Amino acid sequence: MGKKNEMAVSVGNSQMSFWRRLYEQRYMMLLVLPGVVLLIVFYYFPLYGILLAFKDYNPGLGISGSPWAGLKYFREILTDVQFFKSLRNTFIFSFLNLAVGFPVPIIFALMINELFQAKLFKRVVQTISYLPHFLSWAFVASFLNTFLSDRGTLNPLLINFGIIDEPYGFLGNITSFVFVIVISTIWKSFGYSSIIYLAAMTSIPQEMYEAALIDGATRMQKIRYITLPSIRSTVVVLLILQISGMIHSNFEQFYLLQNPLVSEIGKVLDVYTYEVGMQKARFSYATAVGLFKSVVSFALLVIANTVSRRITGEGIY
Amino acid sequence: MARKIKKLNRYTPFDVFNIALLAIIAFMAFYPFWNVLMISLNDPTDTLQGGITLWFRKFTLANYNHIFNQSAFVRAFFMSVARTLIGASTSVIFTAAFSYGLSKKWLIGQKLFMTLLVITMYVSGGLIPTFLNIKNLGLYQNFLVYILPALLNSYNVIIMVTYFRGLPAELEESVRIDGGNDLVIFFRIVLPVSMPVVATIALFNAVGQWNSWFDTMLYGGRKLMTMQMFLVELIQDADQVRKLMSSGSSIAASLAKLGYKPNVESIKATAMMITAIPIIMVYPFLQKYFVKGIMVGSLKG
Repeated sequence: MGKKNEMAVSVGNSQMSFWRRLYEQRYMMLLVLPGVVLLIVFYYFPLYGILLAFKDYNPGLGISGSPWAGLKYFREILTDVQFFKSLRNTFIFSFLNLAVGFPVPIIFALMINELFQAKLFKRVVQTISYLPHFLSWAFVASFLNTFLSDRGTLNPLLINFGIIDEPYGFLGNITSFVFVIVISTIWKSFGYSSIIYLAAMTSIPQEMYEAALIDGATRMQKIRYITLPSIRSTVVVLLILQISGMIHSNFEQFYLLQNPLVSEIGKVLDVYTYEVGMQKARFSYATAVGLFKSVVSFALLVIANTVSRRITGEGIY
Repeated sequence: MARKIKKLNRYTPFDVFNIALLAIIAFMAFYPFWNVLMISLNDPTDTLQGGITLWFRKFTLANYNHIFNQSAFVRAFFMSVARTLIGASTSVIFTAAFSYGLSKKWLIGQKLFMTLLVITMYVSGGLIPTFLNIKNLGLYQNFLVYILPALLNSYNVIIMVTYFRGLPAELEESVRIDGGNDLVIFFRIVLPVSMPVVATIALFNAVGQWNSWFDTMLYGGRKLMTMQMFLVELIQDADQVRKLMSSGSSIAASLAKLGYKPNVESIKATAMMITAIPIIMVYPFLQKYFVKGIMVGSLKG
């Protein structure tokens, strides 16, 4: 027994030879290696495929065999009107989601955090608020199609109240389409996003609130001077992350909700990439657009982080 | 002391306003699910008049009866169930095994494996390179396309590594002293005591599998039709709906005799409910681990 014990303890001993250590760890390696293989096959193989952006893809020749194209596809991006239109659309929705959507989970978390009584009610509201996050976009898009249709739920209701005279095509009109996108984004994510703020709020020491109470602080003053400053770094981190993701849109949401009537605004970069790549089978060009997106996303991250460091002294790296 | 004061003046106007507003928010978060549930339980002919908002007018289960007699739907349903059960159970085992190894700092190559994993959180090949990779691997229109790429997910791995590192070392030492190897330790000791995190990851993966449709659209085709994709087609393709409404099965005929006339809205609502009901039954149990998961997710960047 003594010998085995010794072996177990000395597994990490660096004086043992490499091969001896490897042999002793063979079972552990057996547990890890399938995972390593999966990572390489499903995450690193596609990275190699990015080369396509610089090649003229020929399905018969494969990625490595296809002839080089240099920067041809990146030059094409610069003259592609459709590309710039979808880039503009992407940023319009990202700005709206940032300006309108970003504060919502913070406000919701504050409201939940201020509920000191009614514990059961609090739990129920929180649980319900997470539900939209777990429903698929296929569900949400189907619901919106039904709910907003001429004979759906909303139109008859609005007609009954005399707000409109005849059914309004909410998904077929550019202004209302923008509303539908922004509201459905908030609806789906506010509860789930509030979790991280609530976690930050519950870690604020109670003594601070008690001290403020003795000093005669009102509810609003406590929120303003204790709660909000305490979650500042969480807010900054999430803000930086959201800004770095501004070039991305939720493909499923846009793909399912957009229609020819609103494609002028509804075609975002992710949908455009899908159309060019999968429907028109222009693989190299779509890969170039994808690479462009990754680069912009990275640049946005660096810019947001630098600006945040200057202004608030906080950043994510 | 603060608590006492609060107890003395319960429910200030602020509280009342806050509670009322939260109740409205909760209602709005829940309403779509509720509305669709009511439409699916309402008589389809009656539904056509519109205006089902909070409660059904003419209760019926005929919509469910009808849709479960459509062979196309039933096939899609079982495809969804299959990918969910197989996908969730295999991925949690692979994730746990990989994470257990990564949780040991003395493992040869541990740092390298960890780096390989973290990089995947930041960079990805994008749509086309991923698509070509799947095709080259022979997974196109192959059931395994639902399973293999989803086996490992870096967020889940990091959640599990954190969990395993928190386990007391004595737990494993005693078995090691008795001569058990790492496989025995992992399967007989570590997995059983890690059931909470194992169940959570399995459920998260199950929800992901159940809700996924983009992979079906890209790689699956008609052969691997799932329920979510079925729903997507119902939105986009009116023909699909018409096929569903006129069917020759005996039950459909007997339903028709009872005056049952299916329509688009009712069929859609029923299909939507069948995708949503399992979710609503499962997700409340995931709550305990939300915070952990979302924290890891936000650290990713």
